[in-house]
Amino acid sequence: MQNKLTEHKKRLGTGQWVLIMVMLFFVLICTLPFVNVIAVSLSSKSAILRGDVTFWPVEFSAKAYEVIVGDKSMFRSLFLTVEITLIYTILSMVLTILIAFPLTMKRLKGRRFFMLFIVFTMYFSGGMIPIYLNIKELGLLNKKWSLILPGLISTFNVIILKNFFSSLPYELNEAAYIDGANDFQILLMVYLPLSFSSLATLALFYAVGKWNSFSDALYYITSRDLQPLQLKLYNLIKGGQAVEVAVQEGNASDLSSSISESIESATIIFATLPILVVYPFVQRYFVTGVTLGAVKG
Amino acid sequence: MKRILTLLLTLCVLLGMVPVSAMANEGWLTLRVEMYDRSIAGFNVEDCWQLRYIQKNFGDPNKIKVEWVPVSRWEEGTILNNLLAGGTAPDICMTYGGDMVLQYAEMGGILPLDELLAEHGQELTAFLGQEVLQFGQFDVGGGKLQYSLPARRIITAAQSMYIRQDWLDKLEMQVPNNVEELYAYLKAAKENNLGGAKTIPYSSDLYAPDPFYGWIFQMDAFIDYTQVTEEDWVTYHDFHYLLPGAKEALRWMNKFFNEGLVTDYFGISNSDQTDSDRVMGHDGFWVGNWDSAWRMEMSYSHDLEKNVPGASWIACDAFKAVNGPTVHETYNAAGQYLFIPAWASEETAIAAVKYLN
Amino acid sequence: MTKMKARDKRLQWLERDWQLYLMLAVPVIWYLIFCYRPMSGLVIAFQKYNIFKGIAGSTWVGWDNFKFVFSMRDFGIALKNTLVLNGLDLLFGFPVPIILAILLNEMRTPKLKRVSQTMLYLPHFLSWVIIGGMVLEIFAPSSGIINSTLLHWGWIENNIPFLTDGNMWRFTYVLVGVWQSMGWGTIIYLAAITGLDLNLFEAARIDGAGKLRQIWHVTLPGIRSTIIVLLIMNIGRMMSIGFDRPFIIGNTVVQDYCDVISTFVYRAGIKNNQFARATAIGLFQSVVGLVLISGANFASHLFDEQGIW
Repeated sequence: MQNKLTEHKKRLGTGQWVLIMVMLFFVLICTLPFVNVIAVSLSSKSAILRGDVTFWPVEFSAKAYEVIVGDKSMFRSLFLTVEITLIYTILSMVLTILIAFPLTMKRLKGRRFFMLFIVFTMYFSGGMIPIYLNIKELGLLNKKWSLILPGLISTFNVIILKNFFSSLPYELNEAAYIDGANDFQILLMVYLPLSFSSLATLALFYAVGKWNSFSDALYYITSRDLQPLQLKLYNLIKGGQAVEVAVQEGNASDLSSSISESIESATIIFATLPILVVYPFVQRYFVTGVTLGAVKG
Repeated sequence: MKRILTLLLTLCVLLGMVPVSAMANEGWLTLRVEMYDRSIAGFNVEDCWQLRYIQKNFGDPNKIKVEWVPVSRWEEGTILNNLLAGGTAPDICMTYGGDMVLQYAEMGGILPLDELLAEHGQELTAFLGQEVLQFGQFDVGGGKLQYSLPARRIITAAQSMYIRQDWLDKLEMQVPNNVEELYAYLKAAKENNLGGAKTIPYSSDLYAPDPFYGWIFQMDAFIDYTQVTEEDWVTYHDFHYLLPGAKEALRWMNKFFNEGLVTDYFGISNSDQTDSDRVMGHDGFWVGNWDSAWRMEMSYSHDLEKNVPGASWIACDAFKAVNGPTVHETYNAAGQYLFIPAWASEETAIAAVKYLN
Repeated sequence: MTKMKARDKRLQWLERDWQLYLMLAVPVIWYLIFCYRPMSGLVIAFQKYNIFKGIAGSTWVGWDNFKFVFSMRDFGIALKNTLVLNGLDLLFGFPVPIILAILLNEMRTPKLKRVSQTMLYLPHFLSWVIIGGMVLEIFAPSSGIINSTLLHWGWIENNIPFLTDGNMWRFTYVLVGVWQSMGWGTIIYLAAITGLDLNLFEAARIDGAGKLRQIWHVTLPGIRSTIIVLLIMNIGRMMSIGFDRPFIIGNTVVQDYCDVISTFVYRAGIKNNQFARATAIGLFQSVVGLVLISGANFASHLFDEQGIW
């Protein structure tokens, strides 16, 4: 049996090659635009205007990055965003687990009620001004926690996790009970170790979501020191794009960006790079199979 | 050694307890002013030389501490809404949305400024002038009052037409004055392929807020404004093509298009391609801002000269009206609107008007 | 004696499950503070909202806001487009991450597998502004890459109107959406596949099942609950639509096809000026969404699935 398995792995059949070709196609259409963005970020303005830049920088110029990096507040924003993302992800995951697990247990009285309780919030929201007033009344305006606490739990993620917990066989639960474990111990020692792939996925979703967000800071933060990275970058890019602004300020028909495309592209790269660096470390939890066949028979 | 260190530490702690600002702000009024934050690198809205200048020359003598409250320019409307709803808005607010200001006035949220202006704002009133001031006067039930102070717009020119000087020279033509001369120029440019294999005599792509943006001058040339009543204007001014006479303009536009004299992607908002064409020298004529051709960011002149030596733009007025006076659109005299929320205390309001003065 | 027994029995569940309730406590408090507390703002939809006077001080206008919005001709068009575009996304976009996840899972070259998965994810990070520029570069008539190449080779006679013909525009819209989000969706399904028991695959192989059969009989059923849950949630979102994609890719030529509820709200200036009307539209979308997800959930029960609740 063992030999047959290894033999299988050594030679790549035609099926595998077709698969590789197909996958390569998808990878290309996803990567090439990104490569173009990197090239644009390192090219001169004239070259970009001429339309010469495709996948390689033309008239190499690191000026765009100089502009971004030269702004010292950019690094402060970077560190702030890292800090917020870390705290947020940890808290989110804890709370998501704490609510998903009980909802998995069919014996929980009021389970349906709680499900509806959280699903309702996916659809109904008070609207921007009431939410803003709420944050204000909680005393969170212009404070770091206003970037962490609202939006802490994503009902979507809770449902995904609950769904995954439900797919684990109930026999595990029973076995643990017989061994005298209480609910907390079952969660920590049985369910969590088996859910690495889902947990990694959700942690990634939360982290990336928080990393990319800026609309909360837009409305809750006025102080410079508390501006997350994406907000600064949004302001930088928007500088060249807002048509209505152009009209109002006597710049109507400002069809092209008044900020160079290379800065816009450099901005994207600067904002995405940290995530791309972290990503491979998280990836192994849901790409390679990490399965513990703990069910007997 | 240890003794010296302990002494130094205690000194530090003691010093730390002394208030840094010897300029005690006790009893001073704080005036919060909204300021747009455009996230310009290296510029801090809350602490910059302009603010310090204002503080020194206005704030200190009047015992007012001036604070600038940064508001992101791009979402200023929504953010202002939030600030006003939450009662956290600055003492002097500003917005580009004139209609919003009217709404706020109707909701009773703005302080009328007539008396304050008379008493503390004489220079301000003189500078703005009645023409500008009237944009900020609304009647929400208590007579026409000055609710908002509009900003005076220094340059009111809006758009202009640009034509290639070097192409005119090559064709030995004069700057066109009416639509027939323009047509002759465009046709000749196309026949001679003056822009290379890809020649776009009349360049225009879509400007989303107003699809006929690149053609307003052409349309205005055919509209007899002496026939346009005020009611017509109010109803149709966003859509010139519905005014009497515009149909003739559309016929000319169709003629231009059918003879291949216009950008073939004119119906799409494709500014990147348009910019590229313009800079590479393919375009012969276009409509843009009053100073577009010479703006450095877009480099229509700078890069064009690099790519096509000897090329240059000249602003022109190619559409003399067919009947009646030649009419061009300008911006109105007022820019953005400033106002003071109704909850401001009397001394704050006085301070605010003094500040603006 | 019996009395005590009866009382014990009623509270038995509490004694047994108190830990579960403890776990629920903190998240539920969070929901109450941050989700339910501002929800009273929904009332604004029925008011002539005055931001200075707040909810308490604003006058009640009943259904007026709704009547106003529904009677706007463009609203009907926006509504129709929202449903059509979401429906197309569901039909063509929903299966793609599933297929990709299965394909990725079947790859036997681990390095390529990991790299592919990372790369697929990239479009998710590009801002819509950049994507808009790219869409024009690729799909524009004459100058776009596709059209100019095909014209050059003589494969087509006229430009394909990707962006200027209504139906073609819908195709472009869905295509770009799939491209942007497929890497993201793959992650969820991959995680689910990863959680499947390898023994099941072994058993199938022993029984003589080839690759395709294994996928059909082991992989797909294994992630069935995940697929159903995501399907239900997507159905629930049919009445809502993002702003960026239709706005950036759309243009006035195809306005009747590309205007959706979110862009309609933006265009009609409802956002700031008429906050109460915006709330009314939002409330309408919420109610419909809830009805849809309840319906989908109920339907899943009919098929013997667990559903969401």
